Amino acid sequence: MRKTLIAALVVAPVLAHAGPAEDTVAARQGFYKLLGANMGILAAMAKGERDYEGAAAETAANNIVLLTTYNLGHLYMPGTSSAEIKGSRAKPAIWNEFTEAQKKADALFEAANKLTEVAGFDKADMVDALEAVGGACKSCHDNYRED
Amino acid sequence: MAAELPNGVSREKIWDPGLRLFHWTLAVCVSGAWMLGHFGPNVMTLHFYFGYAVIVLLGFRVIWGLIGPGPARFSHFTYGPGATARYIARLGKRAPSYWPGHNPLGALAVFTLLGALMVQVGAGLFSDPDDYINVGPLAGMVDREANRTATWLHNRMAWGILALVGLHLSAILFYRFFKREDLVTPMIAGWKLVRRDRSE
Repeated sequence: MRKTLIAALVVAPVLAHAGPAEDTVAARQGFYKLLGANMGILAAMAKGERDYEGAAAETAANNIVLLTTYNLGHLYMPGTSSAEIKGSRAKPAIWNEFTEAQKKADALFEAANKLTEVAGFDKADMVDALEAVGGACKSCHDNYRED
Repeated sequence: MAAELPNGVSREKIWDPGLRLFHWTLAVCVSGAWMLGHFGPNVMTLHFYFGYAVIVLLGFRVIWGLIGPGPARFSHFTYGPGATARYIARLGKRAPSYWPGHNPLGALAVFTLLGALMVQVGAGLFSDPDDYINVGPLAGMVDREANRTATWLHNRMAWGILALVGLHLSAILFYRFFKREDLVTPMIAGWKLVRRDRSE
């Protein structure tokens, strides 16, 4: 409690000068861009826009798993919602119902692990698993991201 | 039967089969796309197919509006402010309109709904919700900012269309129970009670 208070006292004046919160938002968006870059590789293969290469698919899937094991705690620092920071698209609901929002991240983690099991092997299996990962993206965007 | 009709009112074929089929197919496809968009599976393939069907239907309606049978043509239900104002003035009268086609107010609703659906399917084609599985087929043709605007518009318009459909259904109920005019049966069977002489 005291730590939180101290943290709040330290952070509050800094926020007014628009620094760490913006940096956090940028870092958070960077995280999802990384996730997206790897999703993009697999999606292009799924759509036939590029050849299905086992090694590249496996690498992309492994990267996604790696990213989903990343501890996002600091990227969801309080004070970085769309209501507070211009350019942020993270709805305040994330903080208001953190446990629910956390479940979406868990779903992504699970879907990513299934994806990495099949990526690099049968393409149809990879596409199914990729759709589940995309579904996890969608389900969180629908609830917690500003349009 | 005919003897019971009020003076000057006759039973006429108003809605051709193509238009009726269009109407009910559109109702099914728009409802289907809407429900799938909100309650459907994360993989929205079926939503996309309903959307493509709506595009085809809208294309048909535009062609039908230009070269179709009389009452289906846009020129048949394009009214000026005067005619529209006169129609509105008599809207509170508790009697059937006996209008031979889309009345001036209904015509406004038709144009608005068709326009809204065109915007909606257009936005859908360019939409990209960043999930890598439900990307609009033309999303790659425009930049990211445009994708985002299209997605934003598509999500907003869904509510606008729900409101317009609600208004449409309310109007049908208003005519049915307040003005005692059945507009549903003519859209199924094609025949409608109409009055040609509007000099009263």
